[in-house]
Amino acid sequence: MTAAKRNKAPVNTLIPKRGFARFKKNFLRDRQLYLLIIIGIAPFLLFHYGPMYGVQIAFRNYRISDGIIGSEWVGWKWFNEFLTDPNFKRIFLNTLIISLYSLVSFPLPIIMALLFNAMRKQRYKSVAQTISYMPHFISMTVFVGILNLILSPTSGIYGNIFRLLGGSGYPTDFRTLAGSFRHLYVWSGVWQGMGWQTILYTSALSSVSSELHEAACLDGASRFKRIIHVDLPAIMPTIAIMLILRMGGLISVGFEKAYLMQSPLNLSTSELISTYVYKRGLSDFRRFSYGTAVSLFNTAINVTLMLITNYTSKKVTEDEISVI
Amino acid sequence: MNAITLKRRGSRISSSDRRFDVIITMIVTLYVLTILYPLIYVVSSSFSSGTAVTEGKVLLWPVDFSLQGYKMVFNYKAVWLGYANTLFYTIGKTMVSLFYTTLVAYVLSRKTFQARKLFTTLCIIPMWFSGGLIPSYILISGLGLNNSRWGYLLMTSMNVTYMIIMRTYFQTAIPGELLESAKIDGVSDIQYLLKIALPLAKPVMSVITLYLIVAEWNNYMGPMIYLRPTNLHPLQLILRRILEASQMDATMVSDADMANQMAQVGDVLKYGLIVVSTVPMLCLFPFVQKFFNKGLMMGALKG
Amino acid sequence: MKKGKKMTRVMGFVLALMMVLGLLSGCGGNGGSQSSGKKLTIGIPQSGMVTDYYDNSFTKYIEEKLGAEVEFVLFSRASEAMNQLALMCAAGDELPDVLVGFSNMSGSLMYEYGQDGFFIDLKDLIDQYGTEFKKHMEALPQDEYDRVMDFITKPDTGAIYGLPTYAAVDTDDYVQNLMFINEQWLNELNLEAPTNIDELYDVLVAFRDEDPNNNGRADELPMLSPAIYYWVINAFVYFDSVNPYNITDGKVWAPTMSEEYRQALAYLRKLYSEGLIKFDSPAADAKNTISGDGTTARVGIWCGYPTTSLNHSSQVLDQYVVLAPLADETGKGGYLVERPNDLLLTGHITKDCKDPELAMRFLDICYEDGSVTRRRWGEEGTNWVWVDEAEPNNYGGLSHIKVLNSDLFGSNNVTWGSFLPNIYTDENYLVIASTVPGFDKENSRLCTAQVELARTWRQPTEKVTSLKLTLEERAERETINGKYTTTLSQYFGLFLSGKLDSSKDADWNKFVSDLEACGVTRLVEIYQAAYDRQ
Repeated sequence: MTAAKRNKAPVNTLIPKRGFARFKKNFLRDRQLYLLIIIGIAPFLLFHYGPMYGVQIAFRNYRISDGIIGSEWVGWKWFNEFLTDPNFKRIFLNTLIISLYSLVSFPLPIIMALLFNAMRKQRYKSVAQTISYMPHFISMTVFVGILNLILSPTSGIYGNIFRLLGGSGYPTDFRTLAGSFRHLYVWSGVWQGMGWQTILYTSALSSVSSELHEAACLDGASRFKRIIHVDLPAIMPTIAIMLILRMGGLISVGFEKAYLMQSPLNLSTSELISTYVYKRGLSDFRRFSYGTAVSLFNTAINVTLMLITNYTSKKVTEDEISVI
Repeated sequence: MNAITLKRRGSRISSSDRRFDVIITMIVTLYVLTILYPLIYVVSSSFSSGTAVTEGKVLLWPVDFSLQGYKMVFNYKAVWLGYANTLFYTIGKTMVSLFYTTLVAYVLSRKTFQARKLFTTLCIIPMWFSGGLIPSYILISGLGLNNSRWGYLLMTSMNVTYMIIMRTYFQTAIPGELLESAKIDGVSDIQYLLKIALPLAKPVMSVITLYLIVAEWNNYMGPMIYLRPTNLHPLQLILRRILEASQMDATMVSDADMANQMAQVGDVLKYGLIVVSTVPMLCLFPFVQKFFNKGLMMGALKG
Repeated sequence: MKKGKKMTRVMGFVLALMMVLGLLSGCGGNGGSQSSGKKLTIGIPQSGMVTDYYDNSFTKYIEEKLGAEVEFVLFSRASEAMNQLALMCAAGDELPDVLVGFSNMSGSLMYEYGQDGFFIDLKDLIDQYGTEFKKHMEALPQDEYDRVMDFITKPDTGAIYGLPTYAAVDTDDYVQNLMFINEQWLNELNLEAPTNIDELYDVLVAFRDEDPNNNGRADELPMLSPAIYYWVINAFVYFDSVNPYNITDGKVWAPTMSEEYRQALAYLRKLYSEGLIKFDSPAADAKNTISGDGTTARVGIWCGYPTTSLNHSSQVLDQYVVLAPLADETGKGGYLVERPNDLLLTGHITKDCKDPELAMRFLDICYEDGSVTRRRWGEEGTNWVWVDEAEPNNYGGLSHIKVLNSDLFGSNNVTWGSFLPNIYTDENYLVIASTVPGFDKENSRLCTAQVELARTWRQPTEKVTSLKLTLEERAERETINGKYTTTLSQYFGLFLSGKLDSSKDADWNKFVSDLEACGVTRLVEIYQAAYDRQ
């Protein structure tokens, strides 16, 4: 009770105090918050900051028996090796292009969530949404297998339809072409993942006040207009946060799917940083150093992209929505 | 309440709205149909004979109907123990992680919290920099948490991404006046979290619970590194071993015929195992969706 | 309020479930600790097809032979197992006594583990207890003996930190995949099997245009395989894709920078653009394509193992015969390409081994012919029997065993399903090799023809694989080859798809300069130096 009394005055009317005194006052006021956050964050700090000294192996020639601290310091050697690699330019561009292209999959779940939300048959909506998130559970090997099967010019559905429509022989094999790799990669990703990503927006939409819809209805707004003017603004914060987070991991394109989709003819577009590091096959302990150096390189790009997006969001929303 | 608002809306459908309805239903139906294909394929393959699957004869419906795959799955002792392990890890880790994540998200959503910037930065940095596998393993092994079920639960911590999503929700979807009036009523910070913030955050809490459950259900990387004894392995690790074995790999077995045999057994097993391991996840969404609708009602109430 | 109660009940149930499951962890695991006698802990990458390693009849077999109890530390497979091992070493965890089946282990990594004291030197142990290993090694021809010894011996100290799996046999499993051509199509069109690339072109065009399978549809694929282009390149210049360096008249050179390779690319581009060669469909799909519709063949020339490249139900295999390596128009090239990966490191004893003698005896048992038969074909009596009258097997040898059933996997648990140390020689392999029931005579015909060709066909007289490199040179080779193979395959795609034109000097020079940037010239120098030393 007394604590609450002390908190009664709004913060901005407090006479500003200086230094420690102010800290102490705020600390006492927020002591429950401090307690909560310490409990919540302690394991996180332990498990994430504890091992962080390991980043330095990017600058060392790691050997197991010497340990992380004891291994020989080689400075920028691994970065140099990566950046001066004749393959670097191509794999970097490939990675960048595919990550930027993958951004097309960002607005699609939002649109889908709005559509789901606008559906009026509740039963059907629920069934449709349940089905839409199922492909997320098909493991990547099996998913790529299904993709290959559909697109097989000889025995797949694609080839069969081609022949059904009167084509002779076999249609172009898109699975192996350098030009089609990116489209296949991105759109199959949309196909597999869109429903899953929709869920978050659906949950955000569910907290949109129906009063707002009522009011819009009274103003004579059509369904479509209500989606644009009521629903969309309501989930804007979620969208902005998801975009910032997405940018923060943009360049770290996963390894497994691209690797499974590679074929000798499409390597000029399908070789990415992650698959290349895997294939470099530095079989001794040096690969730990090399791998860490490459991921630090990725980090540099990710940090930059994320900070830019974050800054933009801060400006646009007047400090309302940002990650940092 | 919900039903009433809907009905009232329903009475005022204009023709343009009706057209809009039809279009939406069509788009959604089309989308669901394309999504259905891989699902039907997996289920059909699980009910087909191994040779039909390997030879690419299964295109939509089961070919050479057979329950061989399921028989093998259920005869596979490791699958049952794997199921139990998965349940244990999923439930345990979800609860622990949700607890931590909620605490941090709630505190960081409080704009007057003095050390907000500091803690936020502390949370963000590990998204970019990680010490890598070796020092993490040394730490976990040093703490004695590896190769034990409880240890695996203990190495759980909050999830930064979900923390940020939840924090944003606290900030934007729960009106600030609520906090101010609660303060005037003398509600403490912890009471406010339990009595007001959490009930209002049900939609986001439920979706994050779902995400955590699914992430742990599908997780094989962590168990692979930290849980070496086979009796501790979750289902996904077993599934993955079988998937790998069914892709012929000349570096694993010494001759082509043996590899071929393994591939065929693997093809019979894998689809059945995917179905068996995914069915529980099917039941989750309707459960979560209930909370969404409750959220809708909250929105109506608070306006 | 009601809901709150329901929630508590759910939570209560969940917590109870967790407790039960948590308790499971206490009693599960190491059941029989009889501690009656000696115990050996084996670290092995686990196969998904072996459902139980303890309740496994091969484990029982080993325990009996060894007179000791066997325990397992199971790793994930292949590359992941290598990571797990590195982590265990880094964290100072206790290692299993002996490691087998880590087939991704490279020489240089093994030296590091040895030098850092994680693996022990086996030299003296082999002398004392490695009877079977020595016996099989001594049966090898001198050059192969040298190659294997060089592979397992650390160059500077002479220590041996691992034992090999080596297949010194010409069975179909161990020769490079050869090409097979549809003889029925050739007869149909009155053509001869091609011997050089010009003839190949004509044959392929005929296959494409003249409906050799007589079904009135243009569904023929003249040439197909994930790997067949190596054979086409090989018609121009000897090309070993794993070690693309050649030795001619005492000079080491990189075939990929040669004029012949450039011509090969142009030739392949021509085939590809005219629809004469279909590339690299995923393995499963290639299988269905080669199998045709079961009775009508679709493919003119393919490459692979006859036993595994077609679906079992397909009847088209009888149409095919082995196609010998082709030459270019001047008759150059046309060598047999060495099969990669015939030599692996698969057995190590670690620093934590309390009884190295026992561990060495286990490794030595792996080399015994009896145990090789046992783990390849399963239990004697159940899965196979000895026969008095030897039958000809797939590989042109005489086999003394008859396979009754070959269901080794799933829950049968009769073998371990991963690489163990062994040495196959013609003598021991052909005796224990057999014809698997279900494989028809067409399979045997092709296997035999393939093996015959592999035994007699010409090979380059000198290969870089037999050169001895120092430790530093090996490390450098690894770094360079990692970049080299990627650059090579990227440009291969670009040239083939027509994005780059190998006949244009600008494109070709860019390719060559990128290869040089990878360090190919440097590696040529290293090999040259090694060659000059010998």
